[in-house]
Amino acid sequence: MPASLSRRDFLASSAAAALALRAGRAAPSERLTLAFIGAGGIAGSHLGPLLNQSDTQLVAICDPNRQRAESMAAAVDKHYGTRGGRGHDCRVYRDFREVMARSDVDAVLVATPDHWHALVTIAAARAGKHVYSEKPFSRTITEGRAMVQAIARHGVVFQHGTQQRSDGLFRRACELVRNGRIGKIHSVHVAAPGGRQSGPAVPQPVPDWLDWDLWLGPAPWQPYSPQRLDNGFGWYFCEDYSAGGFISGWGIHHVDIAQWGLGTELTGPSEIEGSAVFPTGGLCDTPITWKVRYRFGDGPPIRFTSDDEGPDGVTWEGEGGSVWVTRGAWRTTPDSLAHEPPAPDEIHLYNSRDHHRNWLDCIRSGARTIAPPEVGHRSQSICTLSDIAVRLGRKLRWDPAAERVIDDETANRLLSRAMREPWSL
Amino acid sequence: MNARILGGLLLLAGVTRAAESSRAEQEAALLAQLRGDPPAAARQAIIEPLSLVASNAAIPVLAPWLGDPQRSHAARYVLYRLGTPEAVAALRAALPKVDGKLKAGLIGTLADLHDAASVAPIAEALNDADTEVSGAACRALGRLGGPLAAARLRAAHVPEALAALRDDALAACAEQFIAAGAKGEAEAIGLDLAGAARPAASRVLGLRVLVAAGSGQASALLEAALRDPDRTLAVNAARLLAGVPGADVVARLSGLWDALAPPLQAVVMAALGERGDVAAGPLALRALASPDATVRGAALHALGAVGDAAAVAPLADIATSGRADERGAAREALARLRGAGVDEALGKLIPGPSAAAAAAALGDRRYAAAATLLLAAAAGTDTKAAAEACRALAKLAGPDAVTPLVKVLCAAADEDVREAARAAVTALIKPQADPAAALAPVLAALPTSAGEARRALLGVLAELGGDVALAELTKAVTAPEPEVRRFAVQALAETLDDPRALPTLLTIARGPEAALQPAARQGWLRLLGHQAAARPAETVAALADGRDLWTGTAERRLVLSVLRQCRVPQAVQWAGELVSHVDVQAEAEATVRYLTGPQRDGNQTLPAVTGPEADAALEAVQAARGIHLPAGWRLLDLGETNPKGLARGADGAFDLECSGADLWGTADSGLLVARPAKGDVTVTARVASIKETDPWAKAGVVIRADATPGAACAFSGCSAHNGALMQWRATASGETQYQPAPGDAPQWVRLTRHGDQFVAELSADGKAWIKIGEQTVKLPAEVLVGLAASAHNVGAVTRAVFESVVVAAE
Repeated sequence: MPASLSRRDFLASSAAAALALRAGRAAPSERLTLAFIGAGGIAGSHLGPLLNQSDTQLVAICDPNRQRAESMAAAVDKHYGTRGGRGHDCRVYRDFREVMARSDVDAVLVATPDHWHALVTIAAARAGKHVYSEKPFSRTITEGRAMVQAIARHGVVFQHGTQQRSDGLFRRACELVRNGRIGKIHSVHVAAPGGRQSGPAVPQPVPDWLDWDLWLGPAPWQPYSPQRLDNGFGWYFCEDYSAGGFISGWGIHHVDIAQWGLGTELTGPSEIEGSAVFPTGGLCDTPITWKVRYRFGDGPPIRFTSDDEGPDGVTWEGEGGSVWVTRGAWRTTPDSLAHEPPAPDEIHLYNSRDHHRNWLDCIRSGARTIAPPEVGHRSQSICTLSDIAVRLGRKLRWDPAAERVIDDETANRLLSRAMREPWSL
Repeated sequence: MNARILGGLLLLAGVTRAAESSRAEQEAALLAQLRGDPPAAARQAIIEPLSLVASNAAIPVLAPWLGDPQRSHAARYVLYRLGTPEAVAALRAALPKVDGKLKAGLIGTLADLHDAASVAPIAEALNDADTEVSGAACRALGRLGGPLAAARLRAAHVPEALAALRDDALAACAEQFIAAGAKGEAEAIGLDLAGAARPAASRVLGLRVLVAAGSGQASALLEAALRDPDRTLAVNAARLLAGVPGADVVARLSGLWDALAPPLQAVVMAALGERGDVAAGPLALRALASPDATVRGAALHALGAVGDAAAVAPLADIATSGRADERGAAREALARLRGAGVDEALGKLIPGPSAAAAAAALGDRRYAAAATLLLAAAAGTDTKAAAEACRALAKLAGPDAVTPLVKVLCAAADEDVREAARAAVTALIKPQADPAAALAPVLAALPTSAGEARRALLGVLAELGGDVALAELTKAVTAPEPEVRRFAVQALAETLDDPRALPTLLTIARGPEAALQPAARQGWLRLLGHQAAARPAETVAALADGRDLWTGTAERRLVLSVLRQCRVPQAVQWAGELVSHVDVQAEAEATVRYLTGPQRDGNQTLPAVTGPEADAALEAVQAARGIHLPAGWRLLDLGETNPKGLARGADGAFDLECSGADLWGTADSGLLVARPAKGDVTVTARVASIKETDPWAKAGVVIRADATPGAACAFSGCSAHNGALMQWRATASGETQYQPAPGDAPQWVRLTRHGDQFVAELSADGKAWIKIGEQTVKLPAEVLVGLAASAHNVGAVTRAVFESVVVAAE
């Protein structure tokens, strides 16, 4: 059976790194300075929560798409301008390396397309900057391991964007499972929204507001098309930029919760197999629906599917009951389990009430975040292996310690890929 | 099928190492395609599958590409995945023949392949004038590791800009030495990096290496770094020191404590808390007395992990009378303390100045043995402790605590105590197998109770519900005390949730006591709403009887919420009438739209309410919003948009204004202006303009199954800046697909239905038409035909102007 984390690793709560901030905004010298790398839709969802922190200052927005970067910087300046700031301090960058070279930037939020997560995170760690990175963790397993190593080497604080861990419903569900309230687990089902099919990518001249070569970065070269740039039906569902589309893009949220509930966060499965339905044409080439099965040693089978196979979320079924949890809802069998908090001598999982605040507090205290890099890498690895398994259509035996597929040369070739020059880990 | 997916799926046909002839055939076919020099855009579709089946036979084709800027990455992509000694040799051989980006790429790939033979040539690149190349060399040597790589990195004179990268690579080499058991080599690197003349970031790397290598010099260097003026160095040293294994670390930190600045003390304390070593308990207690709030906060948290019974009294003291922002943390720590004697120590604080905090902690800890002690505290004179004791008993006591808690409730002069006792009684009765029998103490106390106590007991009954509760509350609405009557009405209206209370509430709503009427009216309406979905006709009849009760804004809102559940014409008519009330206009409009459109309810579809009542209600909605459209045309919001859409139309000209996320995906967000049609039909329009709220703002002609956001549909239109397109959603709530075509507005668009076939066309002049696409979409015979638009920007409003709109039935 895989190693379980000691209880002390989980004995932390949001009070762990709480600061006694005075009411109102912190003095400029006490604020953490932040930069956003990536100014697209998901970056926008982080803007409000971070602008409204009293002890942070957003000083830079970076995106190869100048329109997006300028629009977001203007919003930042407007926000600070109405709060007594100078209203023009947020600088715009095209190339993230210039942001990393700024000694006055303490931390970065990485909201780029997936294929950039590794390089930007590693560059930030090397520059001594703390990182909040959107999920998925990485595009390949090799990249993920390199990220974990760089973060540890430089001792920066990292938060993975699996924000469900800071949602009390998920924590309570995992505590029930971890404390054996539903008895021995005999099956687990993880279900996430399915992928998409799109029309073709229509090549067009590169607009003057976009550095297409930089946007592509380490990914294979392709001509510019607005369809490829669109994250609704473009890059998000392309294998060049993402490992399996929503297998990683959405699946990692619930796979990560399944890991948390089972206590297998620091290891990986021993076998994995599955099948998928792929688009029949168009730009998107990642699975639309999938059915994957994996297990840890002789542990219970875990089904990981698109949500046409069952309710979105995570369901653990045990000999004494069951727990199902998703965003905004959960259900226990028996019902009474939902009202049973853990006793003092039972496992109390890390209690974070706000994912951004947890990251910021941990930056100041040095404490571990609720979604640290090794955990993110292991959850991502399950998603990446799922993508490989459905493409190959056969069972893979995985060595989680060596991070290699056993006796399958083709599968091992898919664990990584050569980056487009001049980029490298 | 997408060629790349096909390439991958070929492997599903059972291609394994055993089926070499099949792999060879595939490889040969793919190489043949590559030799044909396909355009760059098509190349990756060949490269990806080739990378999975390639053998050394691919090397002669690909190796020459390594020096070609247009094809080098494609060659490396395959050769990297091939990974044979021959492939690696080909990559290595190319290294001296290229420069700039290509060289940087090759260096990276050789490092990815862990090619030890490449260390020497890559080390040469450390001196390259191109920093992309020398930087790549630094990174690569760090990943390759080994004595030669480490030595070359240590000896290299790299430009200032690469010094940090070089040091990172050295640290990576050290990690590999440690993994291989060569701790001496690692220590040498660590001492080098940690040298006092180095920048702070490099010193941090070095200290980390020394700790990982178990160096005997680590602790002394870390303690020195704690006193360094560079804050980054000091903070990292503090964390590292607190993580060093060994029993003496806590003792050393205790000795250094007073010399540390408060920010460092906070960092050390947080790290000790994570470490979980109970030897840190006394230090954490000492830190509680710090004048610095961050230090105290870190200590409070750490004590939950490292504290024991000795921490109980100080924590309880803070939880009682500490700063507001620390009381909660102290309480959390009390709940988490481990070790023998903690619960007993808490018990000893009752009674006493910290009794309330101790009681709360015992409840958090579910220490059932404290029940007797807590019951005594609940009945005591310390009201704060009494209230906390009641709350704790709710969590840990058994059924035998109900009777004494009822006594506490009845005797309490303090409202907080009484409320806490009430909640506890309710919590303890609810889970019992026979709650009605468990009510006995409450019923026994009721006749002799009065005032607040009586209301609290009735409150218990209201929460628990059942026949007895209904009877007692119904009796109580005629009690002599006005406050009891008011409470009973409120309980029947809001808490009990029993439709058998409807007649009582109706009587009170029409009764002589004005003070009771609002609660009774609203409660009556609320309870009607609970039964409406199951019994719509009965509910509508009851509403008709009770029209005199629709008197205020709150009542009208409740009426609308009831009507939403009654999908009958009368309900739509009333909702339409309520549109004229300004105070509920928005809700009334939403109710009309909800009822006049089909809705999904789980796996079933609720049909739309149609007929003259529905038409009249929709007319009322449009008139209220100032929307003027030709007869039979309706404005229908697709999804929730803010602001709501507006439209004007006459003589074939339409002007739409709307927000919305997009007409796309599984649900559209924007505006629909349409009329019903049956059978084969064609809709034509000239899209004169679209205001560019986003390059993907859209406007065009549409045929939809209905007005739900996820309806099956076909669309022919333009975007503001990304050309024209045909879109279709084949099934309700299915994904949308599209076929692009060139041309922004102004543009003529046309959509024709022949049975299940839909044809989308474009024209520059309305005369010569070009087909965009033809698709099969199964729609019902009766559909909505018209115009649709979306701003593709929920924060903006687009304006789409249409001319010459014609809907022609065939």
